[in-house]
Amino acid sequence: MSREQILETPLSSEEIRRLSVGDMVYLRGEIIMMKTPGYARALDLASRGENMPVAFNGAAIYHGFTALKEEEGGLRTHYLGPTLSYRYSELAPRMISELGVKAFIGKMGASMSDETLTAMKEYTCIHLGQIGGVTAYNSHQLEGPIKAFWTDILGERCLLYRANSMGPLIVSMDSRGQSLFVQVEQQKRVAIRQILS
Amino acid sequence: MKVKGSAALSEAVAFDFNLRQRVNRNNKMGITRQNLINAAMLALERSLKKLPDDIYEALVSAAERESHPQSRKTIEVILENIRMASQKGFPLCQDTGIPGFLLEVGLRSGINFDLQEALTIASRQVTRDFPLIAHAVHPVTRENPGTNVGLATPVVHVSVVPESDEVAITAKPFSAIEAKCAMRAFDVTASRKEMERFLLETVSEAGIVCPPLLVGIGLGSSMGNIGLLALKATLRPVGSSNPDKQIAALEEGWLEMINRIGMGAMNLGGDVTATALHIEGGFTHSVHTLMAIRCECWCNRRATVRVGQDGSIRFGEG
Repeated sequence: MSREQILETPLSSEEIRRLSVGDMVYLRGEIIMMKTPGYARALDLASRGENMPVAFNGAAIYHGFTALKEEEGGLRTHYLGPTLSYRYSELAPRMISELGVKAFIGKMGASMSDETLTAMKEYTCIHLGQIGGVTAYNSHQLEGPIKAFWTDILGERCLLYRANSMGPLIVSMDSRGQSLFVQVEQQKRVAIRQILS
Repeated sequence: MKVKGSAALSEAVAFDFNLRQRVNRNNKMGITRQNLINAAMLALERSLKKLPDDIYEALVSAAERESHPQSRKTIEVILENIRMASQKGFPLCQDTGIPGFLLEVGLRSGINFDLQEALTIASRQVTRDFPLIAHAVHPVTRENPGTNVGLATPVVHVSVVPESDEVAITAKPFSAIEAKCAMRAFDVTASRKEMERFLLETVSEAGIVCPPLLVGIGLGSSMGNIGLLALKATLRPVGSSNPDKQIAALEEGWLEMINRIGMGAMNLGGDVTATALHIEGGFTHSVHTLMAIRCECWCNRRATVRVGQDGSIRFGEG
């Protein structure tokens, strides 16, 4: 039976190791919203030993879209929500192995690449699925952005948010090499074969 | 646990008030261009914030029959989101899509202006004021003008109603679910089972577009029409049957069949794959049949606004 729990960023390997696919969690603390172009910048700066605007060790990275309003005193989030994480698999294994990222958050019901799953197993990281499309619900769970960084990257928004209780999130890839997506796809294939037989 | 019914939505129309005021200020006799633009804006904004009651009720009953705990919890959060969105005037989903409109234009409506242009103005204005994420890009260059309008965008379908003097505008945001729509031609020698395999595999792949799904199928007909039939199938009231008895029987059988896939909400595994399956059919060529499948996410948005000759604007399906 799966369990419900609250996790706080920065995340530790011990906490991540205890989680299995299907567990329901709520996240508290800083959440970084970024995608592949942001990863490329982070990995490049890290390889040259330069300072980072946010801490990646133990970080949770959110694959989301956001509608922002420019207001006095900075940017305000109008609304936001998750997108499919498999689009941002390319540099994800290096974000895990070189920078110590502990969680990726994306839309429920999908997965990241096999290479990412392998890196999650080797370096202890998870994927958390957020319910897709529930924008009113999801938008009210994050405060911010409290920081916008690397604003020169074209077509990319690197933003830092703060969560009081972001969830429910489902562990959809765990640090034991299990993927909920792979399991459900397998079950569906068996069901379809039975229906057609 | 009992899930809240649509009574929770009845107090949720306050956000429409300002829009209605804006429309009424522009009242003139006849259907003016400005009146139509305002009505289209009203329909588009409403479609993004308030899910129709029949869709909501279908999700309530989906939550009640879902036995998988995570899947059920997910539908309950979806229902809470629907209530929050309409009460706070907030988008239901961040994928506000590219704008689309289905128009029923009365033959006696006296429309004598460019409808595509009027709907372009409405779409651009809602994108700027709402504001919406601009999703519409050029099909080759992927260039994004940031306005949600451009080449053949907004998407507009017009049909003519002989006896009417009204214009009914149904706003329909076209979201990323379309990546999992599918169309196939079957030779007359193909078995029913081959069509069912296509349906099952297409629905299964749509697991990533936020189930519980509402499946619309266009059947028969011809290439240019079949996608529109599938779209119209998803716009029918949830659970309504096709008036053709043979097609209605297929709807019932296929809904039961796809719910045996075990997809569950958000592809987590569970009992509910789809809340409804609707088919719109048309006669097709004797040597083949065509099939278009459109899997709408739980957030199957639509809103209809009717514009009358007295300048009146009212919400409604009928």
